[in-house]
Amino acid sequence: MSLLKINDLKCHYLTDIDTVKAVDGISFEIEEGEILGIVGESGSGKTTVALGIMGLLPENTAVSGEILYRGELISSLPESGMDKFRWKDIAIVFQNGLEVMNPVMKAGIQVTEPMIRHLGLSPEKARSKCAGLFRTVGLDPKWMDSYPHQLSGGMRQRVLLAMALSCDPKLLILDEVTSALDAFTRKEIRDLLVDLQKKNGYTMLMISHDITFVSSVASRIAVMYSGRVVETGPVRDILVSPRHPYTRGLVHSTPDIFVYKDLWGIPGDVPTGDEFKGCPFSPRCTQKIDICSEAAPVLMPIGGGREIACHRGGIAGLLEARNLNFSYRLPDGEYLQAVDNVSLEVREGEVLALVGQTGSGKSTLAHILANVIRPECGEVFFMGGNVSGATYGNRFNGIQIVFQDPFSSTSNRFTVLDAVKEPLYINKIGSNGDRLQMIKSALELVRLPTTDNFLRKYCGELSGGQRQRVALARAMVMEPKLLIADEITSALDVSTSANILRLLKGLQNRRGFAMIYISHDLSLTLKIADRIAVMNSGKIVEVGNSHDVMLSPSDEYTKRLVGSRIGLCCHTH
Amino acid sequence: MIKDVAASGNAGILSFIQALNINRIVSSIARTFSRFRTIAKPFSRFSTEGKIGVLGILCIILMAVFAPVITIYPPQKITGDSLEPPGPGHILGTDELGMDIWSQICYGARMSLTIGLAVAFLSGFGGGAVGILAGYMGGHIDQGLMRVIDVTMALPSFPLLIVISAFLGPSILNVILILVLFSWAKPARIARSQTLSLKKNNYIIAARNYGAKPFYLLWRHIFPEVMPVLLVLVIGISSHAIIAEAGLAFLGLGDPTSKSWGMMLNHATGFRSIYFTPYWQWWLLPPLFMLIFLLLCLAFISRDMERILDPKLKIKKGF
Amino acid sequence: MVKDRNSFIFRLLSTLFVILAINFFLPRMMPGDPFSTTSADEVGEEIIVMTEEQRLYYMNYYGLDRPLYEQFLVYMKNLMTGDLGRSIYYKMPVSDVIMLHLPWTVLIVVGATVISTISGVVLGTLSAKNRKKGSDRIMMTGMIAFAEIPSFLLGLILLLVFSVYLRLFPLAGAVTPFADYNGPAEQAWDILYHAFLPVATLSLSQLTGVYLLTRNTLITVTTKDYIRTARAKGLGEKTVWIRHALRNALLPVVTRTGFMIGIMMGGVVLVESVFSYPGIGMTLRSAVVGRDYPLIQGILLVIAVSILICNMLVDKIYGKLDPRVVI
Repeated sequence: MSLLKINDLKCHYLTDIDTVKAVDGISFEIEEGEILGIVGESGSGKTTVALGIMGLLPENTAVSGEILYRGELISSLPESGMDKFRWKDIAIVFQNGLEVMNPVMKAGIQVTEPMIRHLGLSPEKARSKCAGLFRTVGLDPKWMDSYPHQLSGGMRQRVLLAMALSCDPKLLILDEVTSALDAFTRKEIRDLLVDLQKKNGYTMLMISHDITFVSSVASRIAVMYSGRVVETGPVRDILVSPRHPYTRGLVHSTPDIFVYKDLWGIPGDVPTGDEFKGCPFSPRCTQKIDICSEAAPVLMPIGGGREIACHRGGIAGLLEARNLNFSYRLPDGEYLQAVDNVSLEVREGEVLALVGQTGSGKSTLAHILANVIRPECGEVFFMGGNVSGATYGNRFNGIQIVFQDPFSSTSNRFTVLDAVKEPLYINKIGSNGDRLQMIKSALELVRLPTTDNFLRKYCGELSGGQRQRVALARAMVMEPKLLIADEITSALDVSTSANILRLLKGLQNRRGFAMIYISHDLSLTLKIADRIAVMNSGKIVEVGNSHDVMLSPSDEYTKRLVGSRIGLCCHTH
Repeated sequence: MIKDVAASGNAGILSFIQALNINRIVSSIARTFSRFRTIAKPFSRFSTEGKIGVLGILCIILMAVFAPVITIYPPQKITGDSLEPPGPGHILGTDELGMDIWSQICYGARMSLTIGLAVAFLSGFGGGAVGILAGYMGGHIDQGLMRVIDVTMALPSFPLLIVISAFLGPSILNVILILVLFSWAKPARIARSQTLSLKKNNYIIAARNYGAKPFYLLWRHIFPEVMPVLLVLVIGISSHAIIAEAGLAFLGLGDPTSKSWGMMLNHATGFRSIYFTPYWQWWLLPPLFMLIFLLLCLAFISRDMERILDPKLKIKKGF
Repeated sequence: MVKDRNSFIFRLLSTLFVILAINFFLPRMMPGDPFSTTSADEVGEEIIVMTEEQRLYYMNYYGLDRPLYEQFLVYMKNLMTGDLGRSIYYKMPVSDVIMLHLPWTVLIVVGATVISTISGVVLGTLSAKNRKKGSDRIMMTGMIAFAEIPSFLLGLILLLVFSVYLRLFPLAGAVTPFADYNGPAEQAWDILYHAFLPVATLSLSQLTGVYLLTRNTLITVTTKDYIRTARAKGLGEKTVWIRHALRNALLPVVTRTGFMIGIMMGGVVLVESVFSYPGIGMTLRSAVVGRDYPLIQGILLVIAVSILICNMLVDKIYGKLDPRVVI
């Protein structure tokens, strides 16, 4: 029997104006001795869950669903009934604020107060136990006689922890305990918690917006968004391969998890809690389908101890390649195996970097995936359909490719307007007016001017970086779901390439298309890639989360590739 | 109208001039009306108590202004037998000297309102201006003013009021002067603290950067922000002033020639056998109730205004 | 903070100084000769006429024939020795007159303070607890309306209703005149009987303030985080309300109670006049009416000093109660 079980809990704050659905149907379980972390941003409802468990929600809250502690229903108990469970069985450590402790009572008295009441200790016994607790949390017992305003923030947090532990609770809830603390204190508190758990085996529910903190203590994580749980699973799995688009965005936005990657936020804003029938994340989701705005998804297990709430089962697969083979015939009759039994998959909104040296077959692979070349054997599936059967380049939401050489990507004799208009023209999409509009917005996306003057310029008059952007605009005008960028910055100098890279990644983040980014430069790809596939002589030797591949490669070739980086920060290897 | 001028001679010129004046009058009326609208808008947000308060005050004001119209007898003349009960000749009866009580009430309203308004405006806006200036200029002037305000607010006002008015003589002017002296400190202090916190705002620094003169800053930025607070305070001060005047008069320290309600109470309670006779019913009760009614109306208005202006003012009160 | 304390003492001393200065300068600012206009303007009051001997005494007392600084020194010296002069009307030392009447004022003021504080806190607490119910709104509106009526008008109403109309209480005085008591209990009862309405008036006028303060402070306190923490600890509603909420909410109430004495001093003159209660308030009134200048000054001084003492006491007590304030 689990220690705590929540079934379809809903907490709605009722005000005169409207109803705020802080928690809208969540369920989870905590086993004895487990540490579960609940992660979410402000407004996700995580603190409401904590208050709901303790029965501390304000009067104007409508609570439905069940909260079971050791099988007993505690969600509908009156105050006096809850008091029997409070502190002895379930204790909560609040976020440290100036007024979280009674300002006119000494700290020690506030810790001994529940002991005297619940455990029936005499004041002297309680005081000595309090002194012991203070020492456990790293405070000198002399502070028992001081008032809250005389303590620093970190000390107050420790007193709150001691206070929570005072009646030896079975379940300890920690609500944002490190949010207001500096880095040193945060680490100390973290070490303290890990220590406590090891020694006494406390069951903990940790609530925080700080994923790095939670992931360093908890064994399992539940991610909350707008009052619902969107994903649960073991900590490492969730961080390394998040399955829900929100979790992925959250991981991308947290600086400390993958230190080499740039920070990217999630476009859009947190919902205001208005009435919304469908999945709450759908306004910001880049892979939504019709049903997403009509019905809210239910949390379903997907194996490996993970659950996810998404109509598409999490981040959906976009492209799948199986057993691709391709070889070139050399002039001397030999065959060069450019692509050797390659299988690959790309998910929605993901950036997969394909890294390898020149001649490893990266470009060939890219061309196969884009249906520029037919593979000798093997198949490529895009959104369920076979790539070779249809052409995905001539429609919206298809596959687009941008090539390496800016000077041959665009024709010298075409004007900018004509160049970007080309795919629309070929496929007879839209009227002239519509096309102009689409072209202008595509040019804006790549930060090129949209003046008539510029549109009339010939591509031959533009610089390399500008031409590459025009090529990019041409690809973007078809609003692809997968963009294959084949070494697009290799021919450009550093500053231009940095600009293009950032532009590209920004586009990718905002529009949510998937990208296969091909490069021979490992360091560059670290900045933007979610996954890296290392190619050598036509084979994919290693595939995985970009930081795993970079920092702990398993394949020999990868190790050599990684080791060949030169520069300031590399001599500490 | 210009055709008129062209058509007829003298008469035309006269009517042209009249037309001009009418235009100006109409436009100025329209302007004041539009200003009224901005004042009248918050009225609709008043609660029922607030609306009662406003109506009540209006009634009393009308009573005071139109006193000669609604009363038959002048208040100071002996127009009937002494201590007549209410009847056809005298609506509320007469006092011991035979003076009509109803007209005393109506004219007495003038006294209370005048004192209340005069003291309130003088000390409210005068004190407010002093507070704003001190807060704006800072330095020694500000420090000195704070000391003066502290001491003024720590003094026991009513006993001093009694003593000073006893020594200086009971004219209306003296009473107003003394009341202003005791009431200016609170608006000054509040105006000063508001000014101090406003001064820190970046838009003031920006305006000063653009070369704004102090007068501009005070007039366009600081004064409009402080005004609402002062307005609420002014109503409170007028309440206190009316109470103080009534109290002084009740004790016999008011202007004996004025027929304020407090004075009526004084005469009534001074009458030896007032409590053993039924005369108190029409001599004592009307001024008593009028005073209470006026104070309640002011209180309702004041609380409503505080409630409406509350999110900006952060003043917490009963509600 | 030491700086606050210094400015507090400064404020006390400067208030005292201002009062003394007013006491000193006021008679010297009066129009005309202070001693020829000692007639009352009330019909039926006695007209006091001074003998030449008395005139000379007062001239000497006020030192009006000597230079100003000497006068001030004499004034200060007199104050130090407790010589407040001689009352013109009572023909006794002013200090004696004051001592005769002060106990009555102390009785009703202290009584009113105690009653209004206790009932205000109780009602305020109940009101804060039940603030959603309809009955509370009625009480709130009633209290607010009450708060606006000045004490002496309230007193007049009480007098008219209970003494005149219902004849339940006496009309004047602190004790029944010419009464013969069969023991201290009966005397005490008589005193209470006479003091009832004045105390009720003063209590009512202060009650609403305490009530609103308690209610609002409690409502604010109950939204604070430490109340949630206390509830989370499972301490039970009673402990939470009394030990945690009230303990914090009563701090401003204590301050207010201390200042209440000062506030009541303003109204005590009027209330005593309404009930003809022979405390120093009424004495002040008759002194003012009769232009008994030494007595007026003496009473004023006593009032000011008692307010200052109360303020100092409040300061001390608050420092003990609130650990955030450094004494």
